[in-house]
Amino acid sequence: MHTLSLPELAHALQNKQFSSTELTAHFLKRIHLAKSLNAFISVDEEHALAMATNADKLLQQGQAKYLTGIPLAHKDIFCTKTMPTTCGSKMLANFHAPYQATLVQHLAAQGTVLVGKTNMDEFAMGSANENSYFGPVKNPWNLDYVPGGSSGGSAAAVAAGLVPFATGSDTGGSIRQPAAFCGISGIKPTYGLVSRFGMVAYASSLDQAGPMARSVEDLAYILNTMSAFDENDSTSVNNPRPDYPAALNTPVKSMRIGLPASFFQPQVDQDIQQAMTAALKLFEQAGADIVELNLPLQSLWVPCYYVIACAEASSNLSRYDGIRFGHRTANADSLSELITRSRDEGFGMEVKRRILTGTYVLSSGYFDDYYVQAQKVRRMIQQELNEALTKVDVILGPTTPTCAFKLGETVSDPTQRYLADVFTVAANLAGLPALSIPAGTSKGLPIGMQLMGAHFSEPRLLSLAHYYQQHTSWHQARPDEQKG
Amino acid sequence: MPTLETELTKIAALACIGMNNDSAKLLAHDVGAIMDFVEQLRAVNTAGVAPMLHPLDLHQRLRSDEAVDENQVSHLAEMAPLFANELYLVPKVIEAGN
Repeated sequence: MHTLSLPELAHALQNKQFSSTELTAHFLKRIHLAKSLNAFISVDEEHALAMATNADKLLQQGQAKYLTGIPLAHKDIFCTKTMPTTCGSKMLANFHAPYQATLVQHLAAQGTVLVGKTNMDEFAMGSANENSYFGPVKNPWNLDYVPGGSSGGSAAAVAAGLVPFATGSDTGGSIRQPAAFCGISGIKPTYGLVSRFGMVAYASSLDQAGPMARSVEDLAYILNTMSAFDENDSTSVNNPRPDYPAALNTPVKSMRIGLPASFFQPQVDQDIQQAMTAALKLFEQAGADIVELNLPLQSLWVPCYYVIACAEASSNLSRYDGIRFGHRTANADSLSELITRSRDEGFGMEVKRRILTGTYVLSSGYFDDYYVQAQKVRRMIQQELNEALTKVDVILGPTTPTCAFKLGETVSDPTQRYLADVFTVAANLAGLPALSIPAGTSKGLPIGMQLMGAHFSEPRLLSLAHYYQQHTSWHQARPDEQKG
Repeated sequence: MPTLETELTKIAALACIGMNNDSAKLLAHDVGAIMDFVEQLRAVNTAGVAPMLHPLDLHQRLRSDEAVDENQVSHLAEMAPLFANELYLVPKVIEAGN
């Protein structure tokens, strides 16, 4: 059952080949057997089975929707009423949200079955899932390697067949980079397409929610449910949403695929470069036009991203004071001591690093030189990408410069880790949609390919990626069951 | 010219992040590395470029100004570490007799 696609699962449930209860029990068993991955922060078997029973009733009564009865997991950044929402932090280790995130509501209204909340880097800050208060997640392809981050738990859970799909959030690559490292498909939609109401904020002008699944076809079905205008999210865009699955078979012929020469730098792994070349050849054979692009501002993407992300994090995370909710120190004699000690005890090192960096660039004397300057550079980056996307339909390249790296590798310079996001942050800076799909392996670890398009061009991105998956089998490769 | 470690101590106080000697050194090293890394942004000629605050450059959408009668006290009490008589409890902020 865990190898079936969403359309196959929907078909099997509706034709009574198995029940949602049987399906949910199957996945719960797999979650139990794969505890060593540490992909989940919480699992609620009782509630999941109750939801599955309810889904079975809907299926029996002929009132089922497309995803009714299918299990899923939410990244633990989305507020849920039935389970804690920790955001991977000691600060929120015991936090029970008073309301549900809009996307949680949308997926619940479809009759999906929530089995658990997945592990993540604390407050979505990280590229390895080593920054979680609940311990690191392991890559199901090789337990000595990281799954990527920050949505590493969701990626590992989908890759290991613990859930058919999961939700993630992406501020600088947090859906696409772990999707690449774990050999699954994931999309960061256009800024404003999916509601963020009930998603714990990290950097509000960059954050976006999206689905993670085995195939692009699965992503299209989930996006149909997740993508909707939400009056509770002031950044939600109120425009008509297309039918994403219906657009999957748009012809590839005459599509223009942009290839930035700067994406093929010497530091990009040779196997990854070869995988991209093979993909380009496939698209070329299908009649697509390959267009070389020049993106001279690419070297500024990561520095620009980190100034803005840290500044916004510094502001967003100021709400954690140990008074209204979250961790509160047991030992404080004054109000200021209470707040400072609660934050000191509640936040991990990476979160403190980014809050301090953000407060620094926002402080008097540095505000214009760093924060405002980064905002100006951000506009230049967006203009350069928008202009490139008038010449091409999509920009193709590797999702990451290397495959997954080893767990516990010490890095003395934190910016070295930030370079794992070198190809992904641009989509967040410019608010563009981008997806990652499996495109090969290197030394037993998956390779990810990124496709980035103009605002609201998800149907085109999905159709191109779907064509690739119909003509390759990388998305069907699975980690060794012994490891998963 | 103040060192980054000195400046960071002030910044940490602003951000309400506690630091001891060891963490101050480590964080000064890390934040210093990040600031060195982002320094290249300052060399970019941005004359005439407007700062970008929002990826879609949309205007803030406002909800209608309607009064709602929702009592959230029980929710707030459940979330708060210390809550009594519909109040958040904090250490004493005003000393008696002054």
